[in-house]
Amino acid sequence: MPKILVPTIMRKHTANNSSVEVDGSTVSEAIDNLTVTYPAVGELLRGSDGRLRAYVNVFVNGDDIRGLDGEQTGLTARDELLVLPAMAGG
Amino acid sequence: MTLHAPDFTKFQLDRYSRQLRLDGFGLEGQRRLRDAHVAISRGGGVGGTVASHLAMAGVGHLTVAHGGEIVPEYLNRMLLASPKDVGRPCVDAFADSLARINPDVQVTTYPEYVTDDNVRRIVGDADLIADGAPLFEERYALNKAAVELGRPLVSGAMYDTEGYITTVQPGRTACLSCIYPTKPPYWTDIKVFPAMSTAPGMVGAVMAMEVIKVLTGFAEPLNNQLMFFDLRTNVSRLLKVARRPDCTACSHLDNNDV
Repeated sequence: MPKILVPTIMRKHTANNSSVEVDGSTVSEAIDNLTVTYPAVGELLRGSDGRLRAYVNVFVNGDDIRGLDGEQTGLTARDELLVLPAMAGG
Repeated sequence: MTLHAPDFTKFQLDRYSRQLRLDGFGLEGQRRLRDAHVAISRGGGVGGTVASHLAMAGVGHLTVAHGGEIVPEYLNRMLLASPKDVGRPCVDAFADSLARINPDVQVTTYPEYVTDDNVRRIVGDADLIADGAPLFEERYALNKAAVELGRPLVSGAMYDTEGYITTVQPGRTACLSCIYPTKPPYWTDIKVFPAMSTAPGMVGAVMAMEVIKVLTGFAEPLNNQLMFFDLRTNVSRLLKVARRPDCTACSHLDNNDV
């Protein structure tokens, strides 16, 4: 199954797991399945229109999905997603 | 190997001798640092680390903008502040520390935080801008100024044990607004992020290296790349980022507008 790396700000919503394996043949499916298991993550990642929030970047194997097929980017079992909400600590 | 360069003192050549041996850096790199002016937004956990490393490396002129006074809560992460500085204006403490590190460095201070209104006054004369601000409003103001002035921007942020660093070459690489088009609603003030010195220290060190790379042409900057690390899990990734055609800050620049 594809693996999602969970950043620290989201871990309170994922039972403190730093990575989670989820089913999904696309980025959208993987994120949907993540939010089924951990519903509070959904509000952080998606707006009320269901779209990924603009301050959240999603990378598949290090590539920004905006340069791929967005949320429809295909996934294989070996793929790694990194979901990064914007941070500004200085 | 004994180096001779009439534009450096013997002490300076000794002081910098180890870095002068870096392939691709050398005396020309040292001259470029000496002749450079870097403006740094805030001298805290991230910005203070940037300033410390740049002073050690021999950047000729540093500008540091930071409002307020030193409070005890700063002392777990700010390299440029010590307990005896509590109650002093931050920039005074930072300037004293930088002078101790390298008295050859000219330090200009602004006892204020960067805003849309003052950003040009603070960074306008700098060759490069380093962004270690803890608020998105400051970061966007610095990014906008960098784009408008055509100056490179090195931007670094942290949260908890994580770090995020990128280098912006306006018109050529993704700017901060390309990567984060909007400010997240959870980032309300400086108190939202937990921190100990390690993550901001690592971010600041990487940023200083980026500054040195851009100023001297030495090595490979993080152009269109976002470096991410998490010291809790020891995960680090080099992430590809790209310009947004609809970026509100830089989309009007073409690839040659550098």
